[in-house]
Amino acid sequence: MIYGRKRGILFFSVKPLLVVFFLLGCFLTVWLRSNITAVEYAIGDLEGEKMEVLKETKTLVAERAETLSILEVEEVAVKGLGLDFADRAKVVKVRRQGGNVPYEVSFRAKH
Amino acid sequence: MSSRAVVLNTAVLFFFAIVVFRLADRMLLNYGSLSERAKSQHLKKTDIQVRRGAIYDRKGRELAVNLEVESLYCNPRDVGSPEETASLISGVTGMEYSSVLGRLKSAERFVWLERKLNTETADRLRDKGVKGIGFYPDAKRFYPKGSLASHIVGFAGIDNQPLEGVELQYDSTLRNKGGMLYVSRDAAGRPLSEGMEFESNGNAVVLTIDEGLQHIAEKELEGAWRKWNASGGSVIMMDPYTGEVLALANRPTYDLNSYGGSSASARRNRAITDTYEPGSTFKIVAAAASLQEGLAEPDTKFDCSKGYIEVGGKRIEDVHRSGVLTFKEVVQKSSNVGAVTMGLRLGPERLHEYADRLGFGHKTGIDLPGEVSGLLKSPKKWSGTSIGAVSIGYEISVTPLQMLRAYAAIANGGRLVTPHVIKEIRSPEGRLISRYKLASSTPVLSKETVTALMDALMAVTEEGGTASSAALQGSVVAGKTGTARLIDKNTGRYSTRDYVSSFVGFVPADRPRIAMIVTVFEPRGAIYGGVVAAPVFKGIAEKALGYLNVPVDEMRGKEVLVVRSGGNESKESY
Repeated sequence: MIYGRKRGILFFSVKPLLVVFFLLGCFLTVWLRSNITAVEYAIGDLEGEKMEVLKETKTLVAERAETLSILEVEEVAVKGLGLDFADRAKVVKVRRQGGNVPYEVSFRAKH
Repeated sequence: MSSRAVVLNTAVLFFFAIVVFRLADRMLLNYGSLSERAKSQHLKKTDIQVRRGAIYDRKGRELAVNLEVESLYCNPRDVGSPEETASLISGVTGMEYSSVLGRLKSAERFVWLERKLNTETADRLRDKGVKGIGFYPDAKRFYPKGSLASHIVGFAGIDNQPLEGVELQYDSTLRNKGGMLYVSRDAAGRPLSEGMEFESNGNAVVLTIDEGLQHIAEKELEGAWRKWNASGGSVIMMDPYTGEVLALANRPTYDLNSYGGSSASARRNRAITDTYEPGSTFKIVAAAASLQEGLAEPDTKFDCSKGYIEVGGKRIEDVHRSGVLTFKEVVQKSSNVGAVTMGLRLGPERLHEYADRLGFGHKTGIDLPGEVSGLLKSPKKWSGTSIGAVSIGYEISVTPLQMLRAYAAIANGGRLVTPHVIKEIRSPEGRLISRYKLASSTPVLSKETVTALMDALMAVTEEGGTASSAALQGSVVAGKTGTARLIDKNTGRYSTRDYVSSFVGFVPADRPRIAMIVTVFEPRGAIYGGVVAAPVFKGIAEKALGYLNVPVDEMRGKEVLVVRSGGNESKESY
């Protein structure tokens, strides 16, 4: 009498499962790779944008430096607003004490 | 097995053998050359853009920055119609048609059409879609303050190569090494980035110059230069204790953004490259040596009543005949007779030794290119008249900076400082990399000598001195005038027309904040240092002390205000 070994459901599902895993692996690899490529495109685009922003920043920094040059400020202050350099002998100096808190100054104690 | 199966199996095996052989060929035998080919197809070689570091003043205000621009090039072989293209390009850029056409017809494969186009022009040209032209990202050095501090900052050329000033002196700091990098790209040529830096920035340089003080110095010098129709002029302002150059201005000057149109004379940093016979400002050497050697005291008397003195058969005269003068009065009135008498008492060796000790005949060591050492002859080479000439500032040549350094030594108590323009070096992100280290120096003059000299120099700006026009309201100025003849290049003799007028000193005299020299070359209409240079010193010092918040002398030590902060009342004093 010949007895055959009992073959369970697992035996029959191993091969299809292996095929499924193989296909899934292939799919995941391709999917991951395509995602990486997409991210690389995105980084490339962002880098392009970054360079553009940097370019603009540099222009703005140069413009700001030019506008805030003392020569320009003096032009506006003296010619535009009619201001003048203070007479040093008439300037009262105030040295602020303490931290960043409101303070007041008076001549009450002037001797 | 059937014969058909044998044939099929053999065919399959043969097919696989071919595949394996082909794979071995590709992956093992010809791996190197094939991988290079693949690399060249999906990797693009790109230049790392090298950008010079910025230059700032001592308060972080930009003096030199970069602008991103584009340079226009073409491959003449790819250009369709050179005439049409030239017309289009010249229309947009404003370049000359013939010049563009000439380049478009060149036999080369790569020709620059225009360097450093601004972004708007480049964009307009790009929108036209001209065939055969391309744009290369480039950087243009931009100097936001124009001609301000031009002789210190210097400039970089069309290829950002350093040519003058700090740009040249600190080139290795300001410029990083460039290089190439490979960027992956797809079949369409679009870049696939892995996050890389396409730019390499040099370190930033922070100078000791203060834009505000520089502006004040430039403005006042400009006024005097124009007023006296002078051929040139220099102003140097320095911290006498540290040697930090706070301002350095020259006239004529030039705009750093258009240096191409400037003359060599305008680009010359006269403050450190031009030498002159200083005249009376040099009298402090004989005066200092006499005090230090115990040959004179503040009240020592000198007979100047004859109004002249003969040395080696040559007569040296005073401008105004005086009677018997004290040491202090000799300095105050700038008596030639008094100074020569001191020189004769010292003798050539000692006079030379003190000139040497005060830094004359040597470079000061300032960190700017082109400094000269001036001329201080060895006593062995002196003629019979030299002792008289050197005592009053002739037969030697100095730079304005050397003279200022000697006076700074008096201001700071007798130490010779090293003038410098660099304060810090910072990374492109602003991190401190290094700071200028002050070199220790040994005193060249004693405290007693310095005190007596200071007292005499303070008298110069008082009533009866040669530079009362340098006196300030609120602060005492100590200094000395100089009026010296220049050599006439045609005759080789001293000119009767061309002079150098100067004033050098420091303020406030008892607690100096600034030491400064004003030198005006070949003024017309007036020649005396007290008339030409001293008022410039006054004009600059008045504004500079205000800018630096230096209180007037009378305010010092006095409680003037009540400052209430957070409920606590306190008295302030200076």
